[in-house]
Amino acid sequence: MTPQADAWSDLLTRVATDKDAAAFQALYDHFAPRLKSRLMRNGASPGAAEDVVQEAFIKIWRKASSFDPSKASAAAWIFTIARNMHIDSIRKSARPEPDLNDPSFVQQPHEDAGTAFDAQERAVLIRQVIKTLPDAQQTVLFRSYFDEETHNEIAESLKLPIGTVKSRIRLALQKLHDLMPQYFKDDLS
Amino acid sequence: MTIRHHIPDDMLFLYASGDLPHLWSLGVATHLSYCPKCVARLGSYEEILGNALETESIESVVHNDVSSLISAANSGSDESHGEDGVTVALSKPAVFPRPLRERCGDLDSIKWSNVGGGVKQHLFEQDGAYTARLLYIPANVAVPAHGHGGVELTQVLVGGFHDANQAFNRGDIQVVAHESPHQPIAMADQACVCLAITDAPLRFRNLLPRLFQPFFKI
Repeated sequence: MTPQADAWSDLLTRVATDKDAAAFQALYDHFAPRLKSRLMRNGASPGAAEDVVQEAFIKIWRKASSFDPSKASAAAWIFTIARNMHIDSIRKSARPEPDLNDPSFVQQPHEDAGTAFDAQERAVLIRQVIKTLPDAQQTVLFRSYFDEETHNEIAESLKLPIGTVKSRIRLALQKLHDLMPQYFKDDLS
Repeated sequence: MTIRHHIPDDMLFLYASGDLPHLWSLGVATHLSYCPKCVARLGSYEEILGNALETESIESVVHNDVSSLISAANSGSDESHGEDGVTVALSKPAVFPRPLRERCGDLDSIKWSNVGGGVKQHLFEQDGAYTARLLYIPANVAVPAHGHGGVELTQVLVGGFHDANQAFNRGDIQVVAHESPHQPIAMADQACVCLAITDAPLRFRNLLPRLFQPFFKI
C-alpha cells in the first residue's frame, strides 16, 4: 500500500464522517484536474468536462457515506461517480447499473476467497501492475478505449503508426492478463 | 445458481470505462445482477481506471473553491438524497433484475408477439443499430436458425437453452459473432426467456477490433 493511496481513502472517509471541507478540497484539488483531462480526451468540451466534474463532486459530497474502503479505493470510487455523471449528462437518462439493494441481486458469498481479493489487496496489486507497464503501454491503454477511430486519433497525436499503437495496447492487456488472470473471463473457474 | 458463461473481457472493460454503447450496457448490468464473479472483475477494472488517474495529465479547472459545491450539495433538493440503501418490499419476488425491469417491466407484464413455432418476442428498445428484445422459447423448441452480421448478446432470465454443445442456464450470458448461423434450443423441461441484444456489423468492427481476437478468444 502506498501511503498516498491510503491517504485518499482516509480523506474521503473524513468527508463522510466529519463533513470535513478541507479533506474535500484536497480530494478536489487532486482529482478534479485529472478527471477533467480524462473527460476531455474522451470527447467532452472543456466547458462540458468542467460541468461534469463539478456535478460529480457535488454527488461525492452527498454520497460520501456510501464509500466503503473495504470494497474500493477512493480513486476507483470517484472515477465511477464521474463516469456515470458523464454518461447521464450525454444521454439524459440513467446508465444501466446493477442495483445491490434489489432483492433479486445475487450477493457475493462472504467466504468465497477464491473469487476475489480483498479490496485493499486488490488495489495494491493493481497499482503494482500499472507500475510494471512501460510508460508507452500505459499511455496507449488509458487513451484507447479500444475502438478503431480512437486508435487512429492516438496514433496521430503520438506520431506513431497505428500498428505500433495496437501492438502496445495488446501488450499492455496481455500483461494485465498475466498478472491478474482471475479477472479475465477465460480464467474464471 | 452457478454461472458458467461470463461477460467477455473487452466488453466488461468498456462498461467499466463508460464507453460501452447503451444497450450493451443494459445486457451487462443485467448479467452483473446475477454474477458476483463479474461484479468482482468489474471492480478490478474500475480500480485500474481509477488508479490510472495518477498518471493522467492535468487540465486546470476554472473553478477551484469547493465551498460553493458544498453549498449546492447541502441545499439542493436533488433526487440523490435518500437514494442509498432504500429498498421497497415487493409484493412478490421479481423475475427480472432491476436494470431490465426499469426498461420493460417484469415478466408478468410483457406483451408478446408471435414469431412462429411457439416462439414469442417483445422488442422494447432500439438505439441506432442496436436492438433489445425479450425472447420466449417453449420447452424443447429451437429458435429458427438465424445468421446475420454483427454480434448477439443473449442473457438467460428463465430456464435455459443448448447451443451447439454448450448449455446456458439462468444467469448465463452468451456473446457471439454471427459469422455462422446458430440455433439455440430451449431445455426440455422448461420454457426459456432471454434478453437478446443485437447490433449491426459495422458498429461491431469498431467496437471490438479483430486485433483482440487471439487474446480474448471472441
